[in-house]
Amino acid sequence: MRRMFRTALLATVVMACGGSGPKQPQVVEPRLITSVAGQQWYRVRSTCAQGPYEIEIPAVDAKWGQGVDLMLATPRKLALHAVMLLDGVEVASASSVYDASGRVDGKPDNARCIADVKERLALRATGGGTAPPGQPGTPVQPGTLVVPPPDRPAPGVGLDLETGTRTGTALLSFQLPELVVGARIPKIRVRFWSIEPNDLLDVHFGVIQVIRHPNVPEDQYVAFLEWKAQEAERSRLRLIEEQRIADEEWRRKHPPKPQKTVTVYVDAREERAREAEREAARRRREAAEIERAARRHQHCATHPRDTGCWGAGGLEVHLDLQRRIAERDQYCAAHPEDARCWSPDDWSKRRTAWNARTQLALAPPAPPAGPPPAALAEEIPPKLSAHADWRPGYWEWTSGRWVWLAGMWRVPDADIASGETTTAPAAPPPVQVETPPPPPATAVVWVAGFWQWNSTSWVWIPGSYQLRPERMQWRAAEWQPRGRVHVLIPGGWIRIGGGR
Amino acid sequence: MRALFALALAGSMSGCATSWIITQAADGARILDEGVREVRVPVPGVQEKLAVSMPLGIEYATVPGGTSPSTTPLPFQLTCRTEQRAKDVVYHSAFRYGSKWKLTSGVMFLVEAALAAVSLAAEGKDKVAYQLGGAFLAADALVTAGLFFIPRKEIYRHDEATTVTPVRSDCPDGMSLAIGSEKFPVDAAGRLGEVGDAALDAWMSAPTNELVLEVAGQQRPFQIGYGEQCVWMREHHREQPNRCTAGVALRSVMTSFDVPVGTLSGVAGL
Repeated sequence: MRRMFRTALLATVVMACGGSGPKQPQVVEPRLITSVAGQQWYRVRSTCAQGPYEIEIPAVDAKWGQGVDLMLATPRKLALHAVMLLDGVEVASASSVYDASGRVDGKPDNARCIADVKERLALRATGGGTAPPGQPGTPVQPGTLVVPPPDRPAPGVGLDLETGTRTGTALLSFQLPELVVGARIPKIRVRFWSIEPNDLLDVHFGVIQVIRHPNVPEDQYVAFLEWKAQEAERSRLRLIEEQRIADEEWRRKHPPKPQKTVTVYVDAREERAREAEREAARRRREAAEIERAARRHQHCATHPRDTGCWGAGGLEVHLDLQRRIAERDQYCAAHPEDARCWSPDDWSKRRTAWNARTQLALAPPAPPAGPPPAALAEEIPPKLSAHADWRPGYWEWTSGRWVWLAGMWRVPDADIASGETTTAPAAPPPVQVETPPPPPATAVVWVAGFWQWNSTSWVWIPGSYQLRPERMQWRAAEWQPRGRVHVLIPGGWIRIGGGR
Repeated sequence: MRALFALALAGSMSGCATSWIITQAADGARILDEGVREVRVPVPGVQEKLAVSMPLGIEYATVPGGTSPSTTPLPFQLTCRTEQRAKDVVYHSAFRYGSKWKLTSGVMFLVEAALAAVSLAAEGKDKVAYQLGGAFLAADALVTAGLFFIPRKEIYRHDEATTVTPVRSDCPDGMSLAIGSEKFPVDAAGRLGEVGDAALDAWMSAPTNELVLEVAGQQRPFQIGYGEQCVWMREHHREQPNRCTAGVALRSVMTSFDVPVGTLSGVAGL
């Protein structure tokens, strides 16, 4: 008994461990798998830009389908709009704020690239930034920090192809349908832009192309597809036959019942008599009512002091009130602008119109239908200090149109404090005499022009009006001799009472 | 003490006759009118007026159902109110001391008389208080009985009354605020826009010319003095300029326009 038990236990362990019997061959089900056909990564030439940028993807003759992903590798939040075009027709789009992890809420981190409100006021005050789309701007008043936009597109705006691969988050994906054998291969283009310029320092855009192909030899996959199609057809026919048999069975079990006929005998003559009686009663009531009203009318006509008929004061007051009503109606007919005369319908129409104005004013501004025009080229004036940051010009979407805001240098206070501003080998020429135009606003002050050294020659930076920040006053730019060189102290706002 | 309390209670629960006397003394007998018919006839001479208010402090959004105030500041906006002022002649016809009066005074007489009887018959340590209350009710019931028999009056009179009709609360088309010599359009919600807000803020810190509001070809200044500037600076910048002294200043300033009737109340197509 014990020997039998030991033998059985051993057999069980051996079977459980797979120690006996031949191994089953692993059957791979034919299916389509994807693989990366190629990827390109790009960097935007300008570190502050809004696009639009366009990448054309070389479509491949992928018989079993292909896909395209627009990728983004960014260290900060960007606001982007992206569309994918197949032979010029939009097939996919995305619009959101993204960071390294994908879609996020909030605003993009682009403070470095957009004009703050004081810069915008300065631009407005100097008349800049009123260019219609694609046109050169109205010549701005000469400005220390404001550069008027030239009338030609910037040549350096675009994308640079980079070598190597990166990892990023997918902005937009599109799966191209299977191509018909012999058909023309369509063109795939990806276009992306932003309404405000993004801070694109260390930002990379990538396009990953994915193709689909069978995981088994192609003839085997085709044979599998044919078998699958035949199998599906057989299954369909089998289902139809089963349904037919089931229907026949149901009809056999539920034969149609013979229809019953219900005969209702109505005495039409009796019904007509009842109807006539009801009608006569109704007429009698109406006649009695008319007679009662006539009697009351007659009574009231002969009793002008009856307050039950005419209310307080009798007929005399009643007639006077009627005259006052007529007087009011006459006044209102002649004075439709008087609010006391407006009917509820008049009020409703007016309130609708006025509420619509308020709602329109409070509604968020309509976003642009497409990307901004290509950025205008700017001639960057000589840098004012070692760490001055050039905020490039850009198109701002405001009041339903694109407006060009010119670029400007932002000089950090630390550069002025540490003397890291432009140095020149000699003193500048005498200051040019400028005639300021009339001030565009009382909140602005005239900031005089000054000479700037561009490493080879002197350049006159004309004066402009600028907004005066609260409790600050403008200290004009000046050149101070220091040893054998002259150092530029750029103009700046200093706090009244000392300190910057 | 208890007697005084009972007297005060009886006084506060003034009876029908007492109420009638108070109404007569306060010239409010009109509330007793029945079967009222009133016709208001407009008197020509309407004034159309736009009042615009500028807040100097920061206003905060109200949280529906919340107990603590929101910390989200509302955007700066002017408040506009357009109204029409005029006079009406009101023709008033009514009955006084009619059937409703008879019914009310009759019921009140019975109720007061019953309460007075109960109070006067009360015994115990609060007897004095009850008797004082009962005496008051009895007296009131007696006068009420007299009022029951006042003959019905027919009233017909006319009075002139001032009418103020609020017309709209959006800011009208073409309104602008001149900050210095630059004009910033004011939208229907009373907002100046981001740049206008910045210019106003800059003006408040160093005002030069007046702030002038313009609408329908008329100009009116906002009267803003040191005190108002101080309120602005305190609220918007948490700064206390040297000139500011502790004191009371307005949290908003106002200006108004008188315009021809229909200038602001008209709507195209109506």
